[in-house]
Amino acid sequence: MNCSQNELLQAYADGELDAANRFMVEQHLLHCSNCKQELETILQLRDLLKNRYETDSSKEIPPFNYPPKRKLYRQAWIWWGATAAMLVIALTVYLQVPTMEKSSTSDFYIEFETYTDANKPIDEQPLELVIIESNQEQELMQSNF
Amino acid sequence: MVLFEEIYSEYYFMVNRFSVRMTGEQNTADDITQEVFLDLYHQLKAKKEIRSMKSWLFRIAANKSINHMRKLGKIELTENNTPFEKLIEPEREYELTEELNESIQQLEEQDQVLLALYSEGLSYKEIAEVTGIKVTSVGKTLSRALSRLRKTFKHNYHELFSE
Ligand SMILES: [Zn+2]
Repeated sequence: MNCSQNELLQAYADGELDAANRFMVEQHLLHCSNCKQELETILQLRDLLKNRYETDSSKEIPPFNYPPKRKLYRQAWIWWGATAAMLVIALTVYLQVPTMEKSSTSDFYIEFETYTDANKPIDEQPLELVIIESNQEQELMQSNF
Repeated sequence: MVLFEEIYSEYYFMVNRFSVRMTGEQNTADDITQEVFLDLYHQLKAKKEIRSMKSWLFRIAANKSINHMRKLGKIELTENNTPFEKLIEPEREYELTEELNESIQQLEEQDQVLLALYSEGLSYKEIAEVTGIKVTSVGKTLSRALSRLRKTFKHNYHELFSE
């Protein structure tokens, strides 16, 4: 081992070395005060990083806000689904224009959504068509269309 | 969804803490945490595969944190946000933590993610899983990120730990 192998010391500090390498590092540390100092710094920095923003254990987990009910239509359906959706929107708007003052009769709206699939790299993220069924969201729908 | 609620309570603090470490802001981290679990909720509801829950959550949280920081144009720590939970420790360490965070925010995104994962105490194998870096390269990449951090810190302030 030579003294410039910082990653070896780092891995040693992180407990990521196998027995043979651990032994080698320990042998070196016996007579090299520079590396001993460096190891000390590595450990201190690690503690500092690990301790920052430690969670207050008395803190309570806030309740999860459930989203409104949705139906998802995915991938293969998306193109004809989108076409159909546009027709529906056009029709809905057309039918609703004269009765806009009155409460709406539809109970869904449509939106496109990009969605992170964390199993995949960023450039393979799927696009989704979402139909949201909701009575509370009628206002949202009307302001959108 | 029983499963969802179990995962939510099991991983809430992990995701939350990671997001604070990424963004440096408790309020933002709370929002990001909610969004991460909203994604999870949809993922589970759609019966989509999640290969490793922990890695998946970290990845989503990292993406969202990065997006947030991009929007702010490499964020700076702002005063109007909730002060960090951690006031128990001696004053110098608190100060040091603040200085350290400012230095971290000046690093490249990849370094920031790496250091936040490292701060979470993830093993090299786990870090590899989340980031896609080869397991055999994690040690080197990490050690470089850490020395860049030390260099930035030194440039901003002084030697991290005086000899
Ligand atoms: Zn040495």
